[in-house]
Amino acid sequence: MTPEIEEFARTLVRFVRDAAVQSGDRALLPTARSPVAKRWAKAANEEAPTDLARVLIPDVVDETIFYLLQAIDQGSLRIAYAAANGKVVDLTAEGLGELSGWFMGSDGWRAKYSKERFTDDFSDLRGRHSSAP
Amino acid sequence: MVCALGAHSGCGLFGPQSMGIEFDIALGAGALRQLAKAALRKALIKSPTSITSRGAALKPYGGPGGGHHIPAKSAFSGARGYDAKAALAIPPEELGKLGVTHSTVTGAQQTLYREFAKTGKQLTWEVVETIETESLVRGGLDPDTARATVKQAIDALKKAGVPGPTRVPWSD
Repeated sequence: MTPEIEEFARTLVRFVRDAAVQSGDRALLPTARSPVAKRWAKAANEEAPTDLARVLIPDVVDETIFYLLQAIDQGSLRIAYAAANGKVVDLTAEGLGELSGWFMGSDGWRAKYSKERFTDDFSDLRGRHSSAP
Repeated sequence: MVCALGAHSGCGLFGPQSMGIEFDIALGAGALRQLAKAALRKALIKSPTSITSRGAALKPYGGPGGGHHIPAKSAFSGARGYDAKAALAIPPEELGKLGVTHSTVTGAQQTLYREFAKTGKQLTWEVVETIETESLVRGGLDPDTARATVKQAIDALKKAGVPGPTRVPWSD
């Protein structure tokens, strides 16, 4: 394995895998107040193990993809994408640091492209056309 | 009555309030000053968030992995005086300590900025402050800390000479 691939592996594991695991652990803390934490606590109290797992699975997958995109947004992972039209784009530069937001947001990539379940924790923020004070 | 100061005891620096952690004691003005100074020093050492700001412990972003920019850096694309590396961010460890879910903050930012973009209005510091604060609260930060954090970050940008946001993030 080349030093470059080794560096990629280390960055991927630390900034994506480990960050996602740590974030999930924090959501389990009794003091956690985010929508994900509340959803997990509610499911843990009210649902059967299989149904609890059905709640956790998409959240954990989404959290992991979020940290992958964060690593790209922040420039920790410099990745070029070769599009079908042959154009190669630098995701950090062309993405303006907004890829993880496009993925997580209410009308983002999950809503647009996913065929599997996800929880939209921001739907109540939509339809507010005047955030201006 | 003298209030036993603590980082979050609610004791005002300019007048102790009854918050349940208190004791009656007869002290002279000098002793009282000493006690208050010692307690304040202890609180500042114990808490990473200063008593005056009560915000998160912000640091210059520095580079890759520097944490969550406050406000979103893409709002200042091409802005005079804006340096993404020098701009303040909440470091990853501070996000963790405060129990903030980063993905939720970012999702709320994206949704709120896109909603604002629909108004067609120009993005101002005031709107940025509102959206960034609400996003942090959605991510699990308490409202007072969120307000203080965002205010501190925006003040720093203004002091750096940034005239204002240049674009609505996630708007195109």
